Amino acid sequence: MLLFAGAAVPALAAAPAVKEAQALLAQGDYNGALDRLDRYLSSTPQDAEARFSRGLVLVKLNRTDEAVKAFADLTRDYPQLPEPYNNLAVLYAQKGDYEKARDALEAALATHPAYATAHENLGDIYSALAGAAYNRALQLDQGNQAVRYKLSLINQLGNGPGGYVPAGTTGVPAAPPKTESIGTPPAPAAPAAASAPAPEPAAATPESDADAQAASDVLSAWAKAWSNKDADGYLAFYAEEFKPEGGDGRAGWEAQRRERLAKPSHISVRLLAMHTSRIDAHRLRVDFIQDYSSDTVNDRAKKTVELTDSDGSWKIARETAR
Amino acid sequence: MQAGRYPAWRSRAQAGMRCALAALGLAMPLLGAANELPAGTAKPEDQLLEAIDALRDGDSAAAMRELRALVESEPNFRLAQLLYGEVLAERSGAPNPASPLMDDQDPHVRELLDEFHARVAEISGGPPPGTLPSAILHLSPGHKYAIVADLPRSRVYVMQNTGGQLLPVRDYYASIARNGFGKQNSGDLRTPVGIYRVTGFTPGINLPPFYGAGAYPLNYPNAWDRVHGRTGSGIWLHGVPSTTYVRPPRASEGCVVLSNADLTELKTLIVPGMTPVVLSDKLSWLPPDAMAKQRDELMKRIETWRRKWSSLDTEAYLSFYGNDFHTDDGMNKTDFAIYKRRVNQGKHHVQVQLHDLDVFSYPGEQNLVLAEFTQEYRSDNYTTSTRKEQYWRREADGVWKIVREENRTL
Repeated sequence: MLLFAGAAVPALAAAPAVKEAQALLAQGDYNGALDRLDRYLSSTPQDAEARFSRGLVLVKLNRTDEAVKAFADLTRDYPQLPEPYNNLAVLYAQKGDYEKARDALEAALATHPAYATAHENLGDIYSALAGAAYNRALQLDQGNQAVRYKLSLINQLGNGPGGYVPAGTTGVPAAPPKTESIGTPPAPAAPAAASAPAPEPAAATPESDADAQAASDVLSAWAKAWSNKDADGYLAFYAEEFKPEGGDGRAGWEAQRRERLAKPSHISVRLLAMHTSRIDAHRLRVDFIQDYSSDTVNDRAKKTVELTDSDGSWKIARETAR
Repeated sequence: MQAGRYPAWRSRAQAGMRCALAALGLAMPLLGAANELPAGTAKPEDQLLEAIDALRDGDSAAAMRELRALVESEPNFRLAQLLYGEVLAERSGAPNPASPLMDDQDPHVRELLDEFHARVAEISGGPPPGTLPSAILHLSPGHKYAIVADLPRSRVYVMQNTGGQLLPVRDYYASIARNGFGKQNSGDLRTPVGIYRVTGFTPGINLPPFYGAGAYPLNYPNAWDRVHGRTGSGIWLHGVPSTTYVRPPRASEGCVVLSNADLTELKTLIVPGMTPVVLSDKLSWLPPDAMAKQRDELMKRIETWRRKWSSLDTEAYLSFYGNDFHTDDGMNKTDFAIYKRRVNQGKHHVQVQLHDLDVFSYPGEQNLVLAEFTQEYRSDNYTTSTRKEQYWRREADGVWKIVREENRTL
């Protein structure tokens, strides 16, 4: 939950025109309020309270970029006022820019260390930044298993009692604007999105070196176990979900494989022309030529293997000869 | 910080981390005028340790500042991101259900904690001031630097050699093989233990991105590995893909993996074809005096061996060879003795000169020493210059004998 500040300066300073506009704002007449403020500001362009109220009205009108500019201009012209920083921070946070939001709140607190709203908002921003940092901490070489942290980050923002709560102790409280504008999760948080690769490409995407390396590592080891006639090792490369072609069932297939690994006195399996593509966040497709030779058989076959990411290592989920 | 937030880490807390670093001479630009290395700016690991130090002092605001600067410059430093996340969560004042540390069974969290412990352990368990790795008994002045890896501790040290005086000048966190060290066979996913040399350099641009800034191949398997029938190849020092700052402590298939910045720094220090690399299973650091006796004893022994050979005192020369001596081309001690007697018989004079001598106490072995030197051999009818690897073992009677020799042409 991020809190907007409702008033920039003590009420005594507000001009009658500004009070009128704040009343219109409270009634929900945003266009009326904006019109009133624009007219007033054309003759009194530096009135901080009027400019601040205008920023709030622009927020209600969902004219976010203009609202950002209004509050940013105020922070430049009145750096001693903490509220414009606070509201600027809320708008940055809505856009998912938690770093800028943090900077704005820290600026507010630099002049007003006891400013409760900014403290509270900063806490929320820190939580969001923590989620983004966790995401980056757990980003993996292959795939991305950090999605759950991103989700909890979004939930945290959405779970609070929604809505803008005016923080000024005086002045006309701003009517709560549509809570959805804050309650709705911001599109994937910018800091997280910046480093976390998109988790679900639709179809197999072109070869990535990390994927190719991973596939090559695991299949070379698989071929080695096979060549060494190490049946336990060989079978360990198959995922739990692996279903053998032909419907023998897993147990029957395993027994057959053990027999076929045991029988020849020597086996050599070489994999050639390996090509890897990604199916989704947890699956790779690997095409290769399998060069098998034993004391009795020499065989060269095109194979396709689907690797699945299970417990952080790649295992064979499907194996087909073409 | 909330009490008990980092129990595992606090149990390793050491007071005065910065002082400890300074005492090691590792936190600061290291040497005075003699140092040819650039002073360098604060390294990411130093920033991380500063932050941890601040956390231990209860100053989470300072820790946050330090970590923030660190993750801004090294966004792929995952351990820094984890700590940054923890500090932010702490500072948010909100409950922190999303902390990955809650799930320390998660292998990726475990890896980060392992890296944390490896880095922090260096502060308390790093080399004591004034000591040197006991593996290097003597280093010829021709080597400006030597690389020494403490494999179980995920640490690589750069020793600077100034006219035979060694000094640790850099140290890096390093990742080794998934199954640890003590490589025996191809595919055993272990990092070798032994004395190697960098044989070349391949820049990252010529390699898959997986290897990062580049790779220094090592001459594994060396002569001693071949004595033991060790197999495998492609043991490199290399970097990391751009998606990560470092890899977990046990991650490679046998290589020693450094951050790209650290690997790049090595480029100014390593001389391909020359620079020795000690891969140690149990690196010990001793005051130079403690190593002097063994070094002097061996150097004297090598010199006597040379003199006996040069004076064509063949029987005395042969007495330096152990009973289980083998040459790399398959001669045993008896064959070798017959051969040498025959060769020496026809010669009127032999002159052998040795230079660029390195003497290493061989890691992973008891009482084994590798002496490497350039050997200038000149006789009536034959002149040759080779680089010799000579393995000496202390026999049961306490006498050092040669058990293996290998020459390579220069």
